[in-house]
Order: sequence, then structure tokens, then C-alpha cells
Amino acid sequence: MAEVQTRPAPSESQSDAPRDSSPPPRRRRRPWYQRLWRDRMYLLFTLPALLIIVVFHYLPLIGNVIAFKDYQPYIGVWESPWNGLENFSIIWDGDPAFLAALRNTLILTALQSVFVFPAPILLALLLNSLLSENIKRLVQSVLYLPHFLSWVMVVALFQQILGGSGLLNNFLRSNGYDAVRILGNPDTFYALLTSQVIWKDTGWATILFLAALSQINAHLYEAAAVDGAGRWRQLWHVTLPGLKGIIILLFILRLGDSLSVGFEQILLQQAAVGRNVSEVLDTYVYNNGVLGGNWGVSAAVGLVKGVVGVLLVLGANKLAHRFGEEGVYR
Amino acid sequence: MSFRLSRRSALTAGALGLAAVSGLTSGCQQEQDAGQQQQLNEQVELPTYTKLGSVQPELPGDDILLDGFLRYPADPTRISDGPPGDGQPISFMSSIPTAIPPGLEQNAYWQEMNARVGSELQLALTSDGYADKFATTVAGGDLPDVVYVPTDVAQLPRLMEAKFHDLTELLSGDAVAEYPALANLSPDLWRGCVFNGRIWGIPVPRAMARTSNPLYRADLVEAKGITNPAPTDFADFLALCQELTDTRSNKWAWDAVPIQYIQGMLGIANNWSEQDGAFTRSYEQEAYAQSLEAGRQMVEAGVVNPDGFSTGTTARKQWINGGTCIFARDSFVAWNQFYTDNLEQEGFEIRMLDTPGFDGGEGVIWMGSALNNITSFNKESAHDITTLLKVADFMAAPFGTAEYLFKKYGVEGQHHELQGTDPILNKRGSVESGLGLQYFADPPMALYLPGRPDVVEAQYATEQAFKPKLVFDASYGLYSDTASSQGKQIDGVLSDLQTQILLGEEPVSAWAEAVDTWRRDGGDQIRGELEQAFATAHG
Amino acid sequence: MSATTQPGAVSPPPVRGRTRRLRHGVPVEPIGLRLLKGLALLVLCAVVVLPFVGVLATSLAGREQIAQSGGLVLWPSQPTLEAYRSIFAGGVVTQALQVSLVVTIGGTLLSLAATCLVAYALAQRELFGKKVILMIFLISMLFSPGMIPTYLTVRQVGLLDSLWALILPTMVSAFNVVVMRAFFMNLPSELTESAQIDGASEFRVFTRIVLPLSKAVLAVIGLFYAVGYWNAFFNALLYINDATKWPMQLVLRTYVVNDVQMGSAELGSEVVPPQPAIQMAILVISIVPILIIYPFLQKHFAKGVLTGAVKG
Repeated sequence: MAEVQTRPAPSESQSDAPRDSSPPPRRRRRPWYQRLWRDRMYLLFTLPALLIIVVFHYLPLIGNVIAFKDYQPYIGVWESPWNGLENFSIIWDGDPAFLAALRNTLILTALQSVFVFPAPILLALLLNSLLSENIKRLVQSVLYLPHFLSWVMVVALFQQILGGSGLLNNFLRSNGYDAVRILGNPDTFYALLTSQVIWKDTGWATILFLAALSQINAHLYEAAAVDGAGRWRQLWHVTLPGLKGIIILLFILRLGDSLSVGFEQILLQQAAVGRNVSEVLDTYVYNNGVLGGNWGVSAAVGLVKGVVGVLLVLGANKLAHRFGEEGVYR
Repeated sequence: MSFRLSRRSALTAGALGLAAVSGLTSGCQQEQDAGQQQQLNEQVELPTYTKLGSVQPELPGDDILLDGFLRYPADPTRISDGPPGDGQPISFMSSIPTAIPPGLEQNAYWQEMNARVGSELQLALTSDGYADKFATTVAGGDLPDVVYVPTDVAQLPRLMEAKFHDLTELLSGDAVAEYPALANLSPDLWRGCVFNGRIWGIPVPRAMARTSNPLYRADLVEAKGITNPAPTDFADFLALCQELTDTRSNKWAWDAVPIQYIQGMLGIANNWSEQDGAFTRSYEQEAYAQSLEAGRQMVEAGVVNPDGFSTGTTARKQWINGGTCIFARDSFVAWNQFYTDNLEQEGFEIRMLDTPGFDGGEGVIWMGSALNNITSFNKESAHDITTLLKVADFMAAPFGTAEYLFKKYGVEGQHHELQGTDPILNKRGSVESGLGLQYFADPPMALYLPGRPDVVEAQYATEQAFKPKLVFDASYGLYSDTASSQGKQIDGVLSDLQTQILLGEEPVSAWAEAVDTWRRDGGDQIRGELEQAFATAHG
Repeated sequence: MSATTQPGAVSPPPVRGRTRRLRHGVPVEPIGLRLLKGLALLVLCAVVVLPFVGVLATSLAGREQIAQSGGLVLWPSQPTLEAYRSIFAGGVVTQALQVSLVVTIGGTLLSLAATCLVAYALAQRELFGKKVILMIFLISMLFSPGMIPTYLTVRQVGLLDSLWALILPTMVSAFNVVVMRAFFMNLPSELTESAQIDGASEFRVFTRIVLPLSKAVLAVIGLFYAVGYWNAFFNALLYINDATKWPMQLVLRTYVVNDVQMGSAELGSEVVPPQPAIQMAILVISIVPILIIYPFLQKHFAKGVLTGAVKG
């Protein structure tokens, strides 16, 4: 593997890594003002984006103090009375419904990590292996279409086709068979959610992986071929290592979002299945806070989710470094 | 609620002493408010009801039942004198149920409306997500002059006091006579606009028009050889449904389980009932479990479309239009809409069922919710409040007047054509007139379907038959703070369980326990607040 | 996807060790594998295409047919453009389309500029404050400000009722910054280093060397942004009162709402196309522009650049 390794983000292995781990042949570090001056151009590059993020993200983030307040829009953020950790009680008062929601969220996140996350990678590899450029483009343009449907539409389409009075079941009944209960069935609900996500977003998500594939240096394939590597070994030794960085990056970012699964998708389909199976963290907050005009509660849960996300991302990033990967940052 | 609040706050006091203390105080404060406020509520004298006699309906209603009009009155009278506006732009924020209309420059109807109002109307319209729009606009503090206030906003009384104009002096008692079309709104409607003893807005009425019972495809029922489908009891009703169901050809009697209809047969309350000052929620009645049992029976009998639980009302209407289902429980407004949606279907007919008792006799029918919204006026508006009220009065001109004709149908030849005396909105009219002005102010609705006096007569007969059976929500006009903040969430748990029971996933026996939880989680608190409010009002 | 020396032409690795049969210098796969792949792709496409045929058919179907089917129509028996006509009546949608185009094109250009600048800076081996800046972006991904505080900020900045409110708040996506940075870091460093040694300024290196080598990721991230702007409606709902400045997606949404409970009793006089047809037509209208631009971007997605660059 070592010989056919793609250039693993050259900058990182040469520069950042030594600073963190092994004692470098210590160049004297220049004083900060010199570095600032040296990097002035690059720092200027970061300014527009930083400005946007600070103004439109961090500034309003201050408003999330309503997590500790009994906030009502007519009172104002600063005038609203403090209520301590009252808004957080939704999380730790041990309500069985909340625990069920947490459980369901984790199950769904696990399912999505196992089934949804790899799907576009596989599809990208499949597309990549196609010989005909035209077919490849055509297939790709077809498969990305569902991404543009809103969840309302996806749910409606699934219903029209698989629902109790949908195309499939109407066909079965008129031919004397029993209808199959696919929608609104607690037993199949997770499978349904997962397949909806796969259907909707797999094609779209391949785009990034295809772009990453295009970055792989063709010489590596040539070299591998010269070494006698066949189709599968090339896949294993050239293609996958080339994708590894972006896969890990995306996986870590997904981890940070672990506690959010398909809010709108689930809310739309919750009625028939029952909350016991379908309630997830976000719908729980919606049903128990937002619906009653309780803005503080959703801010509170947002904060907790953010903290959990940060911990997961930092942890996963550390883990990635253990394996010599760049992760999200170093 | 205050107990729960303080107990929780106490738990966290160790960690965050200061914050917990402030949490406690806010809890107590809320408690006090609820008591005082209702006391105030009944000191107000509601606007004196004077039915406008300028137009005589062929089928007269009363303060509850809707007037019926077989055709639009010829030569409609004008009831206002001159434009009510002050020449300055008036801004209005509203939710609308239709597509966004063309902007002012491309909209002759809007331009003409501005001319007739005497002020430019600046509209901020939203048709989906109004709750969010409303919340942010309130938070930002830049409310327009006139605002559509949804009735289910949390802490409505305090919101009204903080942001909107107190209309009590201007409308209470005989003062409303200044605005004859507003005086044409019955006291029952105004009660929904009173908080803390003051009048905070103008009611946009629905009430009887929104009363719902089973609508059915009379043409399809007749085709089955059933001349009088009216059931005599539940068993008869179930048999009727079975007769109208043919799963083999994918046809079902019902679009969804008509649980409210069954509950009407069992005499279950319209939300809350009151007896000698004691309040009971429908869930708590013994018959409620029986209604679930019966609903479950319907699901088992297969007379309900299997997608009924997971499909929204708009989509379910297609099942009625296409004859996939025969019955849908819906309102008088929907009754008309079915006709509009099926103008091209030859012989398409809709009628509404009456409610028998579960075991024979008479059932009850739940009165539709009184208000669509409250129209309130920004405290900080630069306009004289009487100007805004005059504009509202103009918008509330009743059916049959010239003002109404223009407001709903625009200008003849441009937006509508006359068929006899009936205005028929054309494409341009329907696109341009959807400005949401019916939510600025509206008269009581009227039964009217252009070109179909027979349908109006059937509707009128139906409402007459309903009248003795109508039951009202005893909590209407009584504010409960707990209901406003927690009502939806604890009701949501029960409605979720109800679905699971109807589907057979949970046993009927689970109901009683869930109702106990409901009581503990806020139901009893709401009851307490309502009873207290009721006592101050009637004691 | 591998790269070739001809820009634009893309093909799998040109040389194979053990493959014998070659076509245009490309190894031919075993027939079994090809069949399997073909079948898999066919199934995948069918699963996606069939519902879309239904969408298109329903948007063209007449009232009666929709009523009969109860919703989705698989083939319009008497195609009619009534739904489309009804949506475009009054010119509101056409006007909104212009707004959408302005916002999408302008927004995407600004977003791409800001994003690739910051991503490139952060991809440097050494940068003063790199870790802090990176953390600022990363954390912004995990904590999202609430709807009301964001509204208050937009209002404070004075963007209410301005098209800028549809661009600036979402102009930079931290996700896209992080992803783009990963791509920049994968570029061979000797390319930029040699240029820098030649005395080219940072900006010149960036625009003359780095960007041309990064067409794939620029196309991808650009598409992400463009689709984001194109589909956004919620910002406009909150920040823009004057409906003549609404983007198309928000206007289209209003055609789907038809809440009879809010309606008035005089609904009785006008024929509108059936709701499902309107709904599906809206879907078609909102996808078509993306269908049009996609092929132009698509050819960049898989464009191999490295070999050509290093060699040439």
C-alpha cells in the first residue's frame, strides 16, 4: 500500500504534524507580529467569510441566552425573565417519552451511518467504473433529481405508491391479494425512513466523491497497473486511499450532527406510526416546546446538541489523527 | 404549574442559585396574573349587537345560524359614505389561504381598493409559516398598523397589552354604533377578543360556517340505491358504511375515522363542558372510551381508507372528488368548495348527515370555532385609531351590500361577470382579489353558492336541523395560561394514543391511564384556571 | 475518476497490467460484470425516474383523471397545461423567477469567492491564527442561532425588505469551507511553491494556479451554493414583506396552500385546476432551471486536473 499511496495531503504531513506530535528539528518560531505580517495577505483572504460568519452566526448566537430565559417575542430577549435551567428540564426530568425519543434518535443515527452514509460512496465508485462517459453523465443527472424534492413531496410520493391505498396496494387488492402494510407500520418505519433518505439524497451526495475521485493522480493507477495490480487491487490501493480523506471528513461532520435526524421527514409521517416509535429528539422538542410557544426550550436543546456535537467531533478528530489522518482539522 | 416550576427550580438552585430564584419569581407572577385577569374580563361591556337590516336574505339566519341567499341581491346598496381612509398608507400583515396576488402595479383590483378605502393598503402576506412570521415581527418590534393575530398564540393577553391598541372605549356598549358593520357582529364573537377586561381586536367570524359533520357524495349514495342514508344509530351507520365500501375495487366509505362524529352520537362534549361551574374535558367522559371502541370497530370493518391517518385534509378531498371515498367530516365552507372543485363533474352532489344518538335518539353537534383570527391594531400606529376602525367597518360590510360585492368580486366586467344577479369571478378576478382582506375584517358568513340555490336550500335546512343539537365549547372566551403554553403538548400525547388505539396498536384500556397523566401534566391546572375564570364571570 | 492528459476527456486508468483486450486503450471488463453493472444502474434509474414520470404526468393531467386516480397519475390521458397556466397567471411567478435568478447568480458568485479565499488561506501549512479561525467555522456548524435572534440581527443590520437579506446571512457555509479546504490541501504543494519562489503574489498564485486546478471542487461547491439559494424560501418569508421581491420558491409554495378552513363561504365561483396538478407543476417548474444548468457544471465534476497540471 505504501508504494501506491496517493499523496496524502502533502501539506499536512510535512508541516502541521510535526508541530503537534514529534519534536521537530526546531526552527526558531518567529514572534507573533512577524507571523502576522508574513501572513497578512492570507489573513485578508479569510476576512470576508469571517465577517459574514461573525455577523450572521455568532452575533445572533448571543440571542441563544433565551435558553436560560422564559422568552416571549413580545417581551424582548433582554427583558425576558431569567428562569435558570428550567428550559433544560425537558432533558433531565427523565420523562419516559424523552428517553424513547433519545433512543429512537440514536437508533436512526446508527442506521443512517451504516446504510445511508456509504451509499453515495458505492454509487460513486460504480459510476466511476463506467466506461461510457455519456451513460455516466446521464445516469448521474437522473439520480440527483430526487434531491430537489421537498420532504413533503417525497412523503407524498411514497404514499401514492406504497401507501394503504397507493398504487401497489390497490393493484394487490383488485387482484384478490391482501394489501401489505408498509407505511404507518411501526415494524417497517425505520426501514422506510432509511430508504427514503437513500432514495432522496444518494445521487446528489455522489457529487463530492466524484470530485474527490477526479483529484486522484492518474499516475498512481499507471504505477499500480505496471506493478500488476488488477481491478480490485487498484480499487483497494489507489481509489479508496484517495477517497479516504474526504470520507473521514464527511463522517466526522455527520457525527457532529448525530442528535439530529430527519425532523421534517419524521414529523410528516408521525401521526400514523405513533410517537413511541417515531419520536426523535427534534420532534420531541417541537411537540413539547415549540408548539406551546416555548422558544427557550428549543434554544436549550440546541445548546446541548451543540455541546454534544463538539465533543463528538473533537473526539472523532483525535481518533482520526491516531490513525494518521487529517480529519477535519489538525 | 407554579408547583412544578418551583420544584424544578429548587433542584437546580444549588448549581445556579441566582437564576433559579428568578425562575421562581416568574412562576409566581404568572399564577397571579391568571386570577386577576379573568376578574377584569367580565367588567367589559361587549359591543351592542345590532343586526344590519340593509339586506334581506331569502333564508334568514340569526345570531348563530347563517343567512342563506339564493342569489346575490340586485342593485346592492352602499352602506358607507365616502372612503374611510385618511390618505396615508395603511399597512396590514396577514395570513392568506391562497397564492400571492400580483403586486400593486399589476393589480387593478388592489388599485381600485386603495381608491375606495382612501388610503394605500400596504400588505405583507404569508400563506404558510405565518406563526413564524408573526413571532419574528413581534420580536423585531416593527408591527404594521393592522395585524392578523392568530387565536392560539402563547400568552395572548400579555401580548395584546404589550403591542396592541385597547379598543374598549371605542367599541364597548353603544359606542360600536359608530361602526354599523362591526355592530353587526354578535356578542359571542366579541367575547373571543376580550382579555384582561379590555377589547383588543375585531373578531373575524367563522362559527357556524366551520361547524363540521359528515359530508357525503349524495350522487354516489343514490346510485347505490340508497335514498335516505340518514342513520338511526351507530349500528345502522356502520352498516351503511359497510354497504358503501368495496375494497376489492378500492372504494371506502370514509376518508378517515370519523371519531368526532361518533363522539357526537355519544353526546361527548365539544372540547370542554361546564356544569354548575365544574369543567370536564371531553377526554374524561366515560363515553370517550366507548367512542374509541366504536372507531376501532370501523377500522376493523375496513370501511376507512387505510391511508386516512397519514394523509392531510387537502389530499383526502381528492378521494371524495374521485369517488374513492364517500364521506368526509368537514364544514359548510368545505361543502361549497367541493362544488367549486367539481364543476365539470356531471351530477356531482354533496349533502351533510345529521347526528343520531349512538343507540337511537339524538346526538349532539359541535359548534365550529367562533373566530378565524383577531384583527388588532398596532399601539404605535401613526394613524388615528378611529380611521383604522372605519376601514375595518368598511371591510366588514355584510353580504348583499355594494361594498361586499366589490371586496369579494371586484369590478364587473373586469373581475367578474354577472349571471343574472350572481357575480361570477373570472380568472383575473380570482388572481387579483386574493389580498387577504377578509382577515382585516369580515361580516358573518352567508350561505351562498352562485347558480345553485338548491344547494343553499339544502344547507339552510341542514343548519336549521342542527340548531337544537349544537353544543358549544364551554372554555371559549375563558383564558387559561396553562392551556396556552401546554395545551397543545398534552393534547398531542392523547391524540397520538387515540390514533394508536384506533389502529389497534394499543388497547382501549390504555386510555384511562393516559387521561390520568394528562390531568397531572396540566389538565387539572387548565381546569382550575377555567373554573376560576368562569366563576369570576358568572359569580 | 482518474485523470488524463487531455483536459475534458475523462477515462479510467489508461494502462492495465493484466488486461489483455483493449479498446481505445481502455481495458474491457468481463461481460458478466458489465451486465451486472448495467442491471444495477437500470434499476436505480427506474426507481428514480418512474416517480418523476408520475410527477410530470400529474402536472399535465385533467381534473377528471386526477379525481379518478385519487392523486398520482401515471400517464395523462388528455394532457392540459391548465395547471401551468394558472400558476403563471398574473405574472407573479415570472417576476419571482427574476428575483430568484438575481439572488442565485449573485449569491453563488459572492459565496464562491468568499469560500475559496478563506479555504485557500486555511489550507496553508502555516498561518497565523489558523487553528482559531478554523475552530470559528467548525463550531458555527454545530451551534445554530435561533430564528428570532437571526431575524433581529438582519433587522439591525438594516437588511429587511432588501434582497441582500436573501444572500448575506447564508453566504458562507462552514461545511463548504471545510470541504473546499480539504480539496485545496490535496493539491501538490510544489505547484504553488515554485510559483512563490518566482515571486508571484499570494493572490496571483491563487487565481492563476490554484483556481484553474480546482475546477471540480469549484463546480461542486458552486452547485451546492446555487441550489441552496435557489431552494431557499424561509429567509424571504421572514425578511421580506413586499411580496414582489419574493423569490420563486416562496411564491410557488403559496400555490400549494389551500386551507379551506380559512377560506370564505363565497368560494363558489371560480374554477381552479386540481390541487395535485398544481403541486406537481410547481415541482416541475422549480426543477427545470437546475436541469438546465446542471450539464454545464457536470462536465467539471469529474474533470481530472492533476496529471495534466503536473506534467504540462
